[in-house]
Amino acid sequence: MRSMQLHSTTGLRALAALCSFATTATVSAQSDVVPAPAQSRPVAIIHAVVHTATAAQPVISDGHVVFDGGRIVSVGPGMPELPANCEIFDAKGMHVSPGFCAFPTSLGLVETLSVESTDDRAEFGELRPEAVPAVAINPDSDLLTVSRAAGILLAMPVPNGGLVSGTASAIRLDGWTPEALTIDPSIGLVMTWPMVDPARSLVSRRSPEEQRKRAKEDIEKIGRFFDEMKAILAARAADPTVAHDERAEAMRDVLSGKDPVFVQVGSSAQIESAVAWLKARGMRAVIVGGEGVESAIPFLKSESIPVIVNGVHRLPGQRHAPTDAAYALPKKLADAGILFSITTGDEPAHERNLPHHAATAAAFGLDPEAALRAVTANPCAIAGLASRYGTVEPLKSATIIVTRGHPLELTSDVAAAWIDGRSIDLTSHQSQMKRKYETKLERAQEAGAANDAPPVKDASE
Amino acid sequence: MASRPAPAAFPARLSRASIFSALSLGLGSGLAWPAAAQQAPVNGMRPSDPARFAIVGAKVMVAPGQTIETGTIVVRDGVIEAVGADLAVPAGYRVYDAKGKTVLPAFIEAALPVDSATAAAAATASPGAHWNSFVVPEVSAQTLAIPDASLDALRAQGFAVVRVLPTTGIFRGTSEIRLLVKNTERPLGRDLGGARVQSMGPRSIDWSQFFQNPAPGVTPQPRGERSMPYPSSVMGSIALMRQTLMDAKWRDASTRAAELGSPVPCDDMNALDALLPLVAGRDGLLLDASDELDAARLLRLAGEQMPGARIELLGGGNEFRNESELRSLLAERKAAVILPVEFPQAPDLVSPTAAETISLRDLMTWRYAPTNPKRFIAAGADVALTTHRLADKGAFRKRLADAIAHGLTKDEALATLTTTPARMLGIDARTGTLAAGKLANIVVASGDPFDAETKFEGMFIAGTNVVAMPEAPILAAGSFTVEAQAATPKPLAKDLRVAIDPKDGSIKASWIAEPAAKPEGEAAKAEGEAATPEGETPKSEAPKSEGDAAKPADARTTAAARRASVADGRFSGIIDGAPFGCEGELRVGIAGVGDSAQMIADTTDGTRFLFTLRRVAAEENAAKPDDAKPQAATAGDAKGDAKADSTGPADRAGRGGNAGGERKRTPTEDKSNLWKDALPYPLGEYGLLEKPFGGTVLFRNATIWTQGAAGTLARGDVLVRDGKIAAVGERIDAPEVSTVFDMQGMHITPGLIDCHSHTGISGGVNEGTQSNTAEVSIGDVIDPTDIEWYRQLAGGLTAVNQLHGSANPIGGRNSVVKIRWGEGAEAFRFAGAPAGIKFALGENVVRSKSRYPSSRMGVATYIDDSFEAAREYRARHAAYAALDDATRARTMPPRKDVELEVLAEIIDGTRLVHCHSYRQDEILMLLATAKKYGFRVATLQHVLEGYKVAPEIAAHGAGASSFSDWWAYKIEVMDAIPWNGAIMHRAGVLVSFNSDSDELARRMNMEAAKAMRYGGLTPEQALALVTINPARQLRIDGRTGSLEVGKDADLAI
Repeated sequence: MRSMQLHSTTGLRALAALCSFATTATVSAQSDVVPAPAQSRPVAIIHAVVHTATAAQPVISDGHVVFDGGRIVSVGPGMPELPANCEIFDAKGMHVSPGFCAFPTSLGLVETLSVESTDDRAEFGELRPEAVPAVAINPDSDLLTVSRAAGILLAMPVPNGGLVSGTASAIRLDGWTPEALTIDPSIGLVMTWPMVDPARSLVSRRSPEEQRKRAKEDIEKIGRFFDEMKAILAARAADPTVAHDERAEAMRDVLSGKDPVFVQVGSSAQIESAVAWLKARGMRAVIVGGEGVESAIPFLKSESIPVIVNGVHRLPGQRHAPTDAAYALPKKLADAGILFSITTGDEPAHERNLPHHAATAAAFGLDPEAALRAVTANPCAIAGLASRYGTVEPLKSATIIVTRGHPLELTSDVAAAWIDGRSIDLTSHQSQMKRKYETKLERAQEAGAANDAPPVKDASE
Repeated sequence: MASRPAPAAFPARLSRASIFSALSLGLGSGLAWPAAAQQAPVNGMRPSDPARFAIVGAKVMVAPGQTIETGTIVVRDGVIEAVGADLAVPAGYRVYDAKGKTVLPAFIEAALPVDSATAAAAATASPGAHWNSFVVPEVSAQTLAIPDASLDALRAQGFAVVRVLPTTGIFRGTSEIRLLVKNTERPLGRDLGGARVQSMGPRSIDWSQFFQNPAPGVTPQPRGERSMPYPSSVMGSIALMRQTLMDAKWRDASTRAAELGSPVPCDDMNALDALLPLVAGRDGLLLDASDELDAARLLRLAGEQMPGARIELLGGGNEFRNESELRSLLAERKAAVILPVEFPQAPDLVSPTAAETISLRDLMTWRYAPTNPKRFIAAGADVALTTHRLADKGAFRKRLADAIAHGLTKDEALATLTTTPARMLGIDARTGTLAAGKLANIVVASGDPFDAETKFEGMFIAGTNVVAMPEAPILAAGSFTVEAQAATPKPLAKDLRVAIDPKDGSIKASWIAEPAAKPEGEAAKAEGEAATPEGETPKSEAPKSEGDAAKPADARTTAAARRASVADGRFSGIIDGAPFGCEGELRVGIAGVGDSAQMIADTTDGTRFLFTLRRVAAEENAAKPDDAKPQAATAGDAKGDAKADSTGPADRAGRGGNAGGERKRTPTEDKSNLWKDALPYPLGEYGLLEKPFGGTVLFRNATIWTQGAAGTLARGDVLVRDGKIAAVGERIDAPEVSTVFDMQGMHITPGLIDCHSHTGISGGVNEGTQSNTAEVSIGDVIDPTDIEWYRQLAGGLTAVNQLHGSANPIGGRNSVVKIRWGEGAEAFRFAGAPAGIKFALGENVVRSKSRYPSSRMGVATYIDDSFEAAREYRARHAAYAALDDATRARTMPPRKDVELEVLAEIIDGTRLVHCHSYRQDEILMLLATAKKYGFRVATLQHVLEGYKVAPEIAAHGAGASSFSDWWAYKIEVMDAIPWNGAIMHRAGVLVSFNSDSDELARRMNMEAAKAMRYGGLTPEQALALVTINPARQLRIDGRTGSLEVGKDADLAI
């Protein structure tokens, strides 16, 4: 930025070049919220309504949570036995729950949607399993501080676009460096399944025949790719001199069935096709979608496929669908006994409304604590993080929030948050701007607000 | 000679040397045809054309409902002289024998659009052209040539007259009514005169229509492309139409002023001058609307601007989806309608998952589209059918048959193609029926003309036989005895006969097989299969033996020739030689005339034998059913189809085949009464057949959020009567109440209001092609069928501010509606809501690289300059109005400019400004501009940095209509904060939360609730953000927004 002041009037071309850079620089408004230090002494939250996000004991109406060294040591009703040197957080009238999990999301990969230079969501090409978000997260993104102020403490950033978009990472929303943010750089593969049933949407310019042909070609392309990657790994196992292949290495745990494939779909036909295809190759599918999920419930149930509901606040895709088709889907998945979680499917700036999606599911029939699990315990289970995150239970990471009101309620705000026991600063660029301009308003009001004479005409008069 | 048609109204175009013009002016009989002055000298002998003939023996469909079972038509000099059952053919008239055939008036195509891009480009390039290249009314169809392929296709379907319409532009030019004759067929005159129309239609493609019925040759273009010329939207097209029609009237007035001595010469204005005949009522106005909502919009516009004009609607095929509105508009405007018969294909239901994606609306459209013509005829409208919009004009009669299967009667069908278009086109005195005195435009059909399988065998256009009548065969079908002219190797078979049929060229031999001949005549008893004309069917080459043991003694054996054909009365084929006493096969040729013929037969070794054939008497023939098959029996069988193919290959293209198959699968369903089905509105899912529940209703025991002075009642009643809130209170006794609902445990709030929506806008939300589009109006393009209305209503939303997009600083006018789902666009309008307009600032409006403004600096000055222009405009009109009458009459009137008129209304204080804005600097700029021109901004839309200048906004008195918590989607919203609404509220600004999203609009209550979390508003204050506050911002709070006595009963439970 400083170099810009050096330009001369003759350096117009250089100025033009700098301008685009300047835009970028302005965009990446850097958060000056300081990351938290490691937990130095035990913390006891007392007198809280504890939402454990476990099915066994979902709610403790007057309970406590004690954590130390980043881990929960005690959860239960009434007062705990307080460890020495314990910090006490009296949460009377407040609620404790696990921090919310934005799984999947593009948080950290993009700052300002309309500015291409701030957008790192998509890598070149159609098949790029080696694209790993964990290395590209901007720890100072304003979107991270704003999201965690709303209780979003964990995220699963994913690349997008292409057929194999890349790898999913798991991160925590506080830390000095990308390494500090990263929980696991690689927890599964991210794919978008070809449109096996032609879309009738008005945006599709291709004829149904063309679409079918293209889908067939895409599936063949995916098939050849997976087979090739598998062959490379087998060859390297037998002969270490076979050349290293970044793509194959990135797919090792997915091809073995250890890590899941998060497959984005938009119709029941895609679900049937993707699940059958992946299963036939010995891989684990996680369905990420909404449209078409309802009619695929029996199939998903019989194949034991977990589902990430990609947005509850979503318009029905079909004119004939019930108006509440998207709102009521989570309840239907719960009734069928399918493991599911909820994500916003929205732009990253709106991830903070994740609990509201769960709240709407609850308003349309889902048990409120099941709705809470859908944005805490279940995403962690689906992502393979359940042993460390997602519930308020002893031995789990102390990644929790305290809210004024039920954690999903729209009017509730977050009073405090800890990630791995570290106390999180809930301020953000937004709260700073709020403070600044509240000051302006106060001063104006103190000055008696020099009210201009009211302008003359108004159509109501 | 019969009486001549009256010289019907046809404009002064006699300068074109048209024989027909002369004819119809009564220049008399015996007119020599090649009299035209422009005719080239004959290179040789002068031809003589007696031009007189008669068609005899046919069933004559004189006009709809008027048929002569066996009649004669006498034609002379292109005109029907007489028609009747027992007419003597005058001496010297050529006779066409049409026994067994049906003769009907040839069809009239009321809408044949012919590509006029070249003519339009030429018009645009001329001095005096309109600034907008879509306004080319000066183009005339006279200059447009009908491609021969179209002409042939139309003739094959029975059309003799077409009205040619230019295709290019919005104002496309004037029509010409023509006989369907080719240049090579002249000197037949071509121009039929009649009533001319100016053709007008919106430019944009309707996307829903596109999917259902892709217009041939249309490539969809992305909406709102900045490089697109004006107009890019349907509302832009409508605005351009409106302004141009107003300009035409202004041109008319200023021309008169000029005549009265205005010293200022009139500018060249070719386009407006070309519209003067429309203004004067000489030209009609044809509205080309492929979309049923556009149809209503254009009919309204025509009524508004050209109330006296003759109006026609060229439809798209889905008019039945907006039946009641169009019925009444057509009646009101006395408009005729031209309907296509391109009915949708059956939906693709190949798999359950595919079936899931098909909407009821699509299914019902598919099912009911063929009832479209019948519905409007039953409603009393003047309906003409057209081949327009058919991907394949050759399928016209098949689609027509579909319409007939769906209830259209054959008389109605005939009328839609003859008398009705003739009347519409003003040529009914000259054509449309087979009455004496009309042009001899005649179709000769092999049978029922409305059976798609029937062949149109002959056609006369103005007496010229353009499709030759099949001539009587030189050698008629029949059976012949066979006599060897010279010795044959062996005797002929017993009672050998040869039967020929010129219809298919077949040659068959038949004889009585003698038992004694059996051993050696094995092949002789064999019966060849029926051979086709060009028959190369392998099967027929291997005749299979037919067990004849059971046959009676005189049973005849037959053998058919393979590869049999006929040309010029000469038959040929290859037939087994045995019955003719020859070894092996014979190559035979038969030639002759009348009752005798000679047959040459060559054997495979090259020996030639000759036979004489003599016709067997007819009565003997009649005894043999094999020889004279009734013609009807062959219609529709494989052979009949093949024949139809050879004359009209297009008949069988893709869809025709489908339709045929479909009929076979569901042979029993009678669809002739489907047109009587009342259809829901909007068509398809969630549509209503009748108005929803109303009357007097009492809601009891609810928690009532009045959002008025009464506050919130923990438990109370609301009484609704005649659509208004009659009472609100803790306990209401209303004995006359008709319906009581117990709302125990529920809440009642005012219906929610969305102050920023783009739901239900047809054909583009932005007319972003110019920086100022104040002339466009969302109110012109309300789409009441958008399913999102229903979904939003289900979310408690009842009133909506439909806004133009934010692509330009001065956008289009907004529309305030109530979501009266199940009703038409007119019913959606919020009557009494003040007019308004959308402005926009910041990033969006400067994004275009090729248009001013491209910075916030330019935005400010552009808006300023526009208001200055509006001020001057007002002054100009005021000065004109102040003139004394005499001076005013010869003063060029100032032009009425909708754009400036609208801006002037803002300055007058009669139009609300709703301005898209984000950053504080641009907000302050707009407030200062408003102050300068003396008006108050009604709402700042989005206003995400409003919290930075909240006191300034409060001081100005502008409302703020914001998102609850959106941010980070572009640079100018990086400083947006969710406390924005609350801070502005605390500063005294009237704040609302809006959706700007079809999805979010379904849950505005949730958006409001966020203001409790971010900023600590009370529940009532928060609810006010989506009820009374937006009502106040839109100045509709006297009607809605709170539950108070006397207000509209708009409520959510």
